[in-house]
Amino acid sequence: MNRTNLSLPMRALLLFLLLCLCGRYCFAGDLDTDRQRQIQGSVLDGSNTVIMSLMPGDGMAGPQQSVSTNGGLFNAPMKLFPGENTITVNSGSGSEERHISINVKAPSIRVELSWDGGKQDYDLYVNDIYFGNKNGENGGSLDRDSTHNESRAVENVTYSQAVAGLYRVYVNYYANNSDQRNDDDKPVPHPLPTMVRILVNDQEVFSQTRTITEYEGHGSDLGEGKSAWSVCTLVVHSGDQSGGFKVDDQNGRDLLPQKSALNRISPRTAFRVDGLDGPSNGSNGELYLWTGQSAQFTATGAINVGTDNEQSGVNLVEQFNSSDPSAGNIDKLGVYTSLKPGNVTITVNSGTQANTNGAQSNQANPMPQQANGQKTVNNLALTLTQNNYPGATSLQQIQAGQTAYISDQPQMPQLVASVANAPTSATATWTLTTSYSRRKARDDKSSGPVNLPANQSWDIGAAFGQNFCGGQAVLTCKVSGVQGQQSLQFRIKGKNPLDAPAKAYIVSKQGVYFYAWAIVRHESRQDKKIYNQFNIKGQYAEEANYSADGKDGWGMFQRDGDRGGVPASTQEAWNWQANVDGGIAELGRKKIEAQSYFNAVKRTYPDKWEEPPVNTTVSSTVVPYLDAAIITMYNAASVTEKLWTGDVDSKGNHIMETYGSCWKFDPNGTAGHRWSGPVPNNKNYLYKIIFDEYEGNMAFEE
Amino acid sequence: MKHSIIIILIALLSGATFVVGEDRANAQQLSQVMAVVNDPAKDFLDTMFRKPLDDLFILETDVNGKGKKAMFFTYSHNVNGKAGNIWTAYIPVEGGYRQSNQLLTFDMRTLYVGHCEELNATGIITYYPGGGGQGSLTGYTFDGQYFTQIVAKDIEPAGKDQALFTRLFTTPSKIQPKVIPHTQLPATSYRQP
Repeated sequence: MNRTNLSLPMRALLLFLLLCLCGRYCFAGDLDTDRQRQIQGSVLDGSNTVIMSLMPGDGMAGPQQSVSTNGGLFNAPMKLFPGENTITVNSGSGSEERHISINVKAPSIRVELSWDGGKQDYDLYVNDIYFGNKNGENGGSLDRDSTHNESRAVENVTYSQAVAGLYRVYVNYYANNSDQRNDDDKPVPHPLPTMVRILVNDQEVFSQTRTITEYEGHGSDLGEGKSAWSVCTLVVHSGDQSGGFKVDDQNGRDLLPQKSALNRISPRTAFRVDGLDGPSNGSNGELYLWTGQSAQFTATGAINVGTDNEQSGVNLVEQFNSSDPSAGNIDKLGVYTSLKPGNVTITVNSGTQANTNGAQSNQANPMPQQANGQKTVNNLALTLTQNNYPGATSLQQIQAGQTAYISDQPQMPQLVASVANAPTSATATWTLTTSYSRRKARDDKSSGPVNLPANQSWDIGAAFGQNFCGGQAVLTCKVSGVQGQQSLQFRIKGKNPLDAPAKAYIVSKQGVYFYAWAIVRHESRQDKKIYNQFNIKGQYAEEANYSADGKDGWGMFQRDGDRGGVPASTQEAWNWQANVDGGIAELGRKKIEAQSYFNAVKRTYPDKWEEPPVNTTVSSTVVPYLDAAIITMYNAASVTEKLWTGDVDSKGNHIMETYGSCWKFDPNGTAGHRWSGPVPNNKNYLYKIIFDEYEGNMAFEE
Repeated sequence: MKHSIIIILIALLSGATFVVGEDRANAQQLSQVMAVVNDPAKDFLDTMFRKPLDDLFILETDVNGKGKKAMFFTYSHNVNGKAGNIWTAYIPVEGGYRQSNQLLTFDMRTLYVGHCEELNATGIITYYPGGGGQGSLTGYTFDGQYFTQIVAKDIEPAGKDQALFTRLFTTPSKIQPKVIPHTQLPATSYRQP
């Protein structure tokens, strides 16, 4: 604006403005980035054209464009890079620079699943988010688990600010709750069309409908995959392509070729390794490689990676090929998958040099020399071992997808983790996250970072101590100075104790409740096996023994109590001794409840009160009256009464309370005979505990 | 063999004769003293002991399909072991409702109201777990004045009776109790524990 400020040698440019005129517009693939700026200015030397060039903050060359002047004025849009930008305008006789910094807003994503309700239950999965884990690691969340009986069922997974990466979308046919039955009394599948829509920044970019005809039976999560529809993968780019995205089907086919905005992403002549997630032995990892149109990749070491410049007209290098398929694959999205452990060195060559496939580079946009060089990605290798693995006499390596076991002692798996290929003197930040979800039943999570020298093993067993947990486990390791992090997923399950030590422990803890061990036998019995903290078979084999009828009840004592009682803790779900301790404590609470009934009867009918029978004989066992009530009430009282609490309201009315027992008091009965019982409850629980279990009439093992 | 026969006999007996709750004769006798009220919720809150963190659950349903809805109330802490909540019923009568002296035990998570062919009964259908993954299908019928416990049927929800269990209880019931959080309940006029 001030001509006198210009001190360029040729006083070439008079005016140079950066205007943000229409930065806010959306289209599929190029998000609400605010990256576009209008570049205006004027020249004094009479040039008919100027060359505008753009250089991002990392100093790599950016795009150039020639712009005509009109009356000495120039005006053209330019799409800037995230972060710092240097815009240079050259009139031929001189040039001038301006600097501008822009922030790129991460896109919002909403994945919507809908169907015509009815009695069909479908579930939406987006990466780690589903009904059993409604809040994902990267900030996304599932709004609700639609099950059935809705005219239009809808589930949404929403990321308010989606980080770069892959978003894999699945739909699973969870259950058919129809009343229709087949000859085997199983629900007759009645599949409905399900629709998946993807909205990025509130704009629909994807929509597809499919009817899943396979049905694996009620309650299958992703099951064996038969009842699952693998919908698509949404890729959100990072780095210099921030804000860009693409949707592909599971075969890598671009579902939105006409909408793909990859050609709208400014070309770059650099390469970048944005992240290295995984891999570990036997698992898939993902290496994100972002590049511009003329970059070529070759690799030394374990893999070779080259570009195919037949696609040089496309701004993003879409076609990577590895000359060593055993080392992994790079798909057309530039996502490197199935990377095997080992050091990977990726070398970027000059744009004028043929790549390993013999294709020529894009001569029109050669890579500047400063981009040549070598970048080494330390592909860290994790090792996880358990030194108290059941039945093993030596250290047992736990590989991805395998199971570590809580021992029958019980003791948490004595795990030791180490990382190979870490730089000398680096620090490793370790995290072990466990999560265990049973639909509408448990949602346990635990985690904690530990910083150690990278050459030192992490004694996870010591870190667990007496804190028991189980389920899905993810071990991650972030090494200082190394991009990305390594992770290893495995499961933690448990082994049941032998019958004799289980009973011995219960007997040592049961105190006055001489029948506690019999309750455990009855409650946790599965087939002919007793004392089961963990399931012995089925879909949840070796996981916490959860009441087969879907009501609360965990472990040996089938501990429960989410409404009014004390819920079973994570410890009680995975540590059988903690479960026994909790069960015996529960018996203590039942004793208080049982006694309160007699107190309330006495309070309500003071003139009619009689002492209850001292004991009762069940089969051939003499059971004190209070214990008969405790045992019965551990399952459900057979007698429920409204009795006076001893309180009165402001008007003098008696406040009543519900009480339970197996003993019944009849205030109008004949004196000396007002008590009757024990009244058996619906399952005749007292008899089952004493006759079946305590007297050993239903013994199978031991 | 001897033990097996005994067990079978016990099992047969247990399904046919045992009841939960008061017998009808005693309930009939006691119910005569209960007053007619216009606002059952208020009456329940005024007369039944509540703990500070208790939520109030209200179920209103036509139990016998005769067109009149009874109301049922319970607090969070009114739990009968593994069988579910203990509910106080208010029966529709001329001029309002009368609190029943019968207490009903059923779990709002295993609740079905209607006709159940397996029990050959219409009413409140529920499930009582019995341990070891087995339990009983039972419930209450209602004759307009009194509730009667339905003779129970032993079932295995995770075994041979999975389909039945799923059909009755996993499919959402047409009725669900209304929940009034403790934060929205009026203060009690009696002392709190």
